[in-house]
Amino acid sequence: MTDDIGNEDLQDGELVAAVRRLGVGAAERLDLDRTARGVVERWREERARVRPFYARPAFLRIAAALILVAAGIATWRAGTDRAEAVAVVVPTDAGLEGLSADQLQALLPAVDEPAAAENMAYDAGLEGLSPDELRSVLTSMGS
Amino acid sequence: MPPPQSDAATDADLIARWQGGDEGAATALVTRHGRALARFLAASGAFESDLDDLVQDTFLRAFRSVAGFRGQCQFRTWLLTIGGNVLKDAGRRAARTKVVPLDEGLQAAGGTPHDDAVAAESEGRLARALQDLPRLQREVFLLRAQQGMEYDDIASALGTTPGAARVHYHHAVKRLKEQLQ
Repeated sequence: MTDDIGNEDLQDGELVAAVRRLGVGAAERLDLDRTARGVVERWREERARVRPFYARPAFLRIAAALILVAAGIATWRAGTDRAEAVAVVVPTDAGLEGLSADQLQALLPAVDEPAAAENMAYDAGLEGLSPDELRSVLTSMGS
Repeated sequence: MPPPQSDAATDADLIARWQGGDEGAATALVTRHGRALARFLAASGAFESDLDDLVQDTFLRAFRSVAGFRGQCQFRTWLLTIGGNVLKDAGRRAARTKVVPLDEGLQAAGGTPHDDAVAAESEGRLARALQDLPRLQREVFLLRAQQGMEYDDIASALGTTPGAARVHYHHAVKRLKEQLQ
């Protein structure tokens, strides 16, 4: 910065002097203390209006969307698990009496799986039977 | 007049304190640069009645974006260019002429009534001629001639090169002389 009016591009002394007088009176009449107070007060108000990031509408919208997506995924997974379980249980719901020997044979591997066995036992009213006992029951029915 | 070099470091210190929440630092910055900003705004065409609001708006806008100020130029130069933007936005909103009434701010104090009248006349013509300049030329001219900033500083603040700033200055001088003759 320079105040040197003698610099090569500040040779136009009259012009430079005139432009340096522009606004001097208005600037002198400005109450800087009041201006500074105004700036600080407005800044304070502005800061108070600024919400934390987690309270801003955009953040809340994103959070709500994520919750909905998570809930949707959880619901879909629960539905899928239930459908798999039902797929195993369906034959037993229909009753073992109506099944052919081949159908009963096809069921045997499922009996070996504890979870499936639990479902079958519960649905068929065979709660107290172990897998071996169930196998023998099924074998006898098929013969 | 611009602050001496030793004050530039203090500006940086005040900015740092302000960012740390020190309101006194903000007051100090306004007190230090407010009048130069007001002169710049008045010479750029602001009404005196609007000066207080414009100075406040400029400081608030500067404080909002002070994190982006990396000392690429003097704080004052940066502040004045923000003031130019604030004035432009205000003018756009108000959609009014920017010629400053002579009895509001441009008139120099002192002297005989005749001297004052002559000064007012010549300064009024200068003010009108300044309004007719393209904005970049006007800002470069005011930053250089009125505020005494260096071209490097002006160029950094306005996002141009020192050579281009020098050209803008000389174009401005040429056009002002033509209009004032």
